[in-house]
Amino acid sequence: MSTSTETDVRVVDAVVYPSFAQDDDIVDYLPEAYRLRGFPGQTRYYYSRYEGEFHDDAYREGERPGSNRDRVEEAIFGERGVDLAILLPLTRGLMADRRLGSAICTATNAWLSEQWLDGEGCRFRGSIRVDTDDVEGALAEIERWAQDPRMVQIAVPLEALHPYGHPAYLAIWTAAANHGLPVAVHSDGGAGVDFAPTGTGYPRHYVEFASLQSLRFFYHLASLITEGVFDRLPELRFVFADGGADILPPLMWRLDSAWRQSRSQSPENRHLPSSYLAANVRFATSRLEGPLEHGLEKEWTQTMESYDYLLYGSHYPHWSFEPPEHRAARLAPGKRDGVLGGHAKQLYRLS
Amino acid sequence: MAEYFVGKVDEFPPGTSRLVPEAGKFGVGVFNIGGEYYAIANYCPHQGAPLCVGHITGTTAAGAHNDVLWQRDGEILRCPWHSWEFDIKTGKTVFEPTERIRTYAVRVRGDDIILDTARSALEQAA
Repeated sequence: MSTSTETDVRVVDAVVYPSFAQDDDIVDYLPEAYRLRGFPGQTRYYYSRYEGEFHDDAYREGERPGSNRDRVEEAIFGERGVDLAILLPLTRGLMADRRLGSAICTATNAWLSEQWLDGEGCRFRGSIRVDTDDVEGALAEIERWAQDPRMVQIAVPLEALHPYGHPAYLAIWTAAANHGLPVAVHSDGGAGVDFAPTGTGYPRHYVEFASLQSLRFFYHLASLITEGVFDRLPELRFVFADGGADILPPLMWRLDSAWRQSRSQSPENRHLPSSYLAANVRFATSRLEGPLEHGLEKEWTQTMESYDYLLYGSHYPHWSFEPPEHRAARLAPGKRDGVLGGHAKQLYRLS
Repeated sequence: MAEYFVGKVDEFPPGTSRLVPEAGKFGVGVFNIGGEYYAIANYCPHQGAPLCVGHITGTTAAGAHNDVLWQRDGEILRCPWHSWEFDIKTGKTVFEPTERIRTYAVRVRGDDIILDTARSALEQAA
């Protein structure tokens, strides 16, 4: 394995999904009390793509894509020239038994540490998975890993019992801010006690799920802003890892407009909603977003002024995988370095 | 003409307001807040609503535990169209980024309250 010093880091892939080779492999890492419990597998079972969940590059005979470390390193670092990658393992959705949810997170973090983050010159960095429904368990998990320099963020599901500005979660965000760890929000894998992926229930087809479910990010973002979470915790950073930057500005226009009329109901939110983005909010890139015509994309991103919030994320090994050279071609030349690595280096203090 | 007779002091108690329709381009509202007089253009800088039709009210602030406190009662004017909040004393929006209504000077001459549209409230204070 080749090594790289941090000053050499140019391309950072902020979203790579490692997975267990077999669904049951997690049992070896579960705390004793949970080893006989049942819970969903890693595959999202309501919505799946016609040709499978994974990118052609990632399929290998007899192997779950994203489960073989050597293969992932070769695909990301070898074939695509990425320098560092942030691993974001998905968990199994919300569990009715929130302690089981935390046990799954504990097992996932231990597995990630042992199987993916060890080794001289390792170019992966990890995410601390926590169950937001179990605050005590989440805080314990954060304390377990926060001092480990290989772990660079906390990761939580897009699916939640409340919007994330709810005070139920404040202790988790406070711990994240105190440790200087960004919080990544990503649609989770297997469905536990899940919610409809749109505001109007269950769409029938995968096309609706794939293109629209990630818009739920905005309800969390609006809640975090208007509940004054960023006023209380100015150091807190959220990363919406499914993406959403393409649709962000029109949604912020609405929020800003309504805020000027109704802000007296939420005085804890002291500033114009859009003014928090630069300090507190980032988005991963997604191949599924933006105009299909690339020339228009540069113009659109420019108009939306969203370059500064973007972190390149390949989403390997999912079918929506986007190699760095494809993303680079979609960006105006002056913006490439920041999106492909500069913003992530700053956010995760990688250099 | 820059001076307008607004009313007699004893007919214009604290907590009340008057519109001087002939003053300025859109009329000027004059407000008595705690015995001091303030005047602002009857024109919202957002979309031009007749601002002085709006409610005279207060505004909120976050308390130590994010409880909602009521403040500055009688000093805030809410636009009748989109509820923007203006500080009557300064003409500025309560929120950022600040937008501002034009303000005017008001003085008392004997028993008469006089609006002076040639000067702003800020100039008067200076």
